[in-house]
Amino acid sequence: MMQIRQLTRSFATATTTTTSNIPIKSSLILSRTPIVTQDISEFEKLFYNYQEELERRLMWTFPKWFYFKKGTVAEREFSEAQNYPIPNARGVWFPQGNPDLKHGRDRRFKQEVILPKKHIESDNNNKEEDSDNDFDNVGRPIRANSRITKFDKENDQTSLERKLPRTLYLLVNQNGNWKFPSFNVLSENENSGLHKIAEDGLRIIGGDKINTWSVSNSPAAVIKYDSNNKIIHNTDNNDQLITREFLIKSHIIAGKFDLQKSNNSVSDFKWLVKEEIKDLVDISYYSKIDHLLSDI
Amino acid sequence: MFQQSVRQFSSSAVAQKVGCAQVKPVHHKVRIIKKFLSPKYPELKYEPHDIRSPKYKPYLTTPDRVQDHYFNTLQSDLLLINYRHGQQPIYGNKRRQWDMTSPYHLNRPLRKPKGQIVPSPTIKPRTYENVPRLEGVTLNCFVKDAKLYPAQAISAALQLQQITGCKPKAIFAKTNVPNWKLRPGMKMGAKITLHGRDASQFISTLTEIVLPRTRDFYGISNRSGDRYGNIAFGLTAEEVKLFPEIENNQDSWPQNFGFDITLHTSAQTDADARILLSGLGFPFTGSERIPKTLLNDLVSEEEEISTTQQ
Amino acid sequence: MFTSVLSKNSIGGRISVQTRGYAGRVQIQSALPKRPLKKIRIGKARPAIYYKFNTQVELSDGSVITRRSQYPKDELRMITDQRNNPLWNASKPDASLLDAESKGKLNKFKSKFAAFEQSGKSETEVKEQEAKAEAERLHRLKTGITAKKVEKEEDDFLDMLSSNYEEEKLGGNLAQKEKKKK
Repeated sequence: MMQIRQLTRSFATATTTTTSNIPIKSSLILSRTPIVTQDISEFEKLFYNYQEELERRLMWTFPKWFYFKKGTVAEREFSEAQNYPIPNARGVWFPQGNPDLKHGRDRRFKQEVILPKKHIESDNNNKEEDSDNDFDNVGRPIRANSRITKFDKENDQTSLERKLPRTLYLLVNQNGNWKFPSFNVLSENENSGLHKIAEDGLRIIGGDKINTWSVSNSPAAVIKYDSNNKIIHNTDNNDQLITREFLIKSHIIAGKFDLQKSNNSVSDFKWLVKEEIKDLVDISYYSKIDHLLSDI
Repeated sequence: MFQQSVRQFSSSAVAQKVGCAQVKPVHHKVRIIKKFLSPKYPELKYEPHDIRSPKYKPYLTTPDRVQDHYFNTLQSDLLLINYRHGQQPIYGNKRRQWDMTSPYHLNRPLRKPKGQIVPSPTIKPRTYENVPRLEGVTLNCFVKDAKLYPAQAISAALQLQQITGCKPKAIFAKTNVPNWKLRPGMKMGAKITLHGRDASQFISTLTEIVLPRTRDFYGISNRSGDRYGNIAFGLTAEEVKLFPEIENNQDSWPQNFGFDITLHTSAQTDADARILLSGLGFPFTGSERIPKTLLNDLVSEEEEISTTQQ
Repeated sequence: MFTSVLSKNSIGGRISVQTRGYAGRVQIQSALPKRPLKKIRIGKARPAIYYKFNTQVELSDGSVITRRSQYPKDELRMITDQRNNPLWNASKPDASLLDAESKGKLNKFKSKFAAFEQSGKSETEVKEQEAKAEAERLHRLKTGITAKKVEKEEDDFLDMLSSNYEEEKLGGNLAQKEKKKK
């Protein structure tokens, strides 16, 4: 019991224990959070569409009189843009039932308000060019940027600008294994805390042009290795030479990971989503980090 | 063993015991208004979420990016930030037992807690089960001038309706202050509580469009909060003009009304609530005051040693 | 009884009316109607679902979000917002530069003092500089990232001058106290 207590203290306040008898590593789960809204499945799309159409049917009539004052140019433009339904008249037979009009809306159906178009449609040929050099024009039409970048098309896994709706994680090829970057806690920086060691280590392998935010100084998980560097799965292993690897969570805010050539231990790096990590890393390692990774 | 866990109405085991039933008798939990049972009102038979009911309102009309952000990124981060090893519950000040010195103490409702009237909640250790989340947003717009000009209360309600897209409720004066010519029952403004997608859109508008453009905004005060995880702040009439609905339609708004915003979170303390809200894009400023009682929630070292030795 | 007499006596309905059914709380009826004039029968009330448009809002960094708004407009372009406010972009120290142009302060300053800036330069040099600035501005608008700052040449000494300077406080406290007393 005393032993365990000592161990927990070593990462909470980092004082008493010496690293010589209990080797400790600090590992960094560096993630890039999603940049755009998440992709929705075909079913979700249909569901939202159904709900939205229901809501449109139940919506009250658009109060035109509140937004467009009578006799103004805006009111005239708005009125001209509408497709007003034909009012009910005596002696006229409507095959689909008599219209029930109030404030220019047929109350049997949903109301469709058409807003007057401001942009004059330019030729299709010029459209692409316009969108590139048109930043000065404040009146240019608003178009959402593509959710698929050129790095997605090239499948450039070292880029941060891929898989915009997903969470990306930094994986490095460290000593021949694909894993989260991990750093030894040496005796000289024993007092500096695991999160500090992980962040400093990241700067050594990835350059200091990176801005990260450590989520917490407490680790998210621990992976235990035995003396042969194999992951221990059973909890009742009392081996004295267990290496404990603590995983610290962090987000990249700005900058980029730029692999330093001076460092020999790390040969390659990738920014990957959860499924890609599963294919790349060792199965036993993945079983330990599976629950830490975001599905989206 | 089995008998203890299941509540039984008639069995010899219960009958042989001396004493009275500890379980209070259950009366009708649903209030029934008899006239509504008549066949004249078939619509009343349906629940509001039933699509056949006239009260039905579709809520899940669009994907909610604020909620997505919360579930994908924020929730797990908050758990890690708030979690501390060996955290102990901090017991709140609860109602007390009577000391039974008087026979009238029997069956009397519990005595009020020491030094306060309302009992304070127990702060539980942070686990995966109580990760804070945003529960709702309340906008409260009290217009002082409405006692002289009752129409201002209505235009305040319209302003809230325009900003949030939901229907506000009128608020009425409760107190009688003769000096201010305030009488109970006067309509004084409007308020509205937003949930779900409406709340998400409101806070994203606030953090992305309105607050960044307000002049001299350095963040919500760290002193704000009701101690139990609800943070409140106010917008002035000038700042309200920055909402897109008002800004684009300025001709219709000769006068604007400031209002108070309360962000209801399920956090147990204000500090936890602030962490959640800063994750949702609200900046905070100023010095933070954490009550002393909240600071010693970890097991002290002596206690720990004594437990390990035992 | 009392109430009915009072309400009959009030003229028009503009004046707010006091009603007192029994000795108790005084209630004031507003002249404005509390409920819609059309009576809604039991069970027929529908929820308020206002007509809303899907408005595309383009933020200053080019990201587009969709808002559901009652205001009849389908596109909205923001010049200043969260994406170029320094308070929200602590990791971008030059975030305030992004919106400096749109606010016009920098432009105003330049238009006033442009003559001093370009004194002693040939025409081609000035043109080159302008083209470079223009390219940088376009790059900034596209990506939201400012290009690398050109290393300062002479300004370094000016910076050094002001680096350790602290403004002296002159007995401000006393004046404040006097104010408070009032």
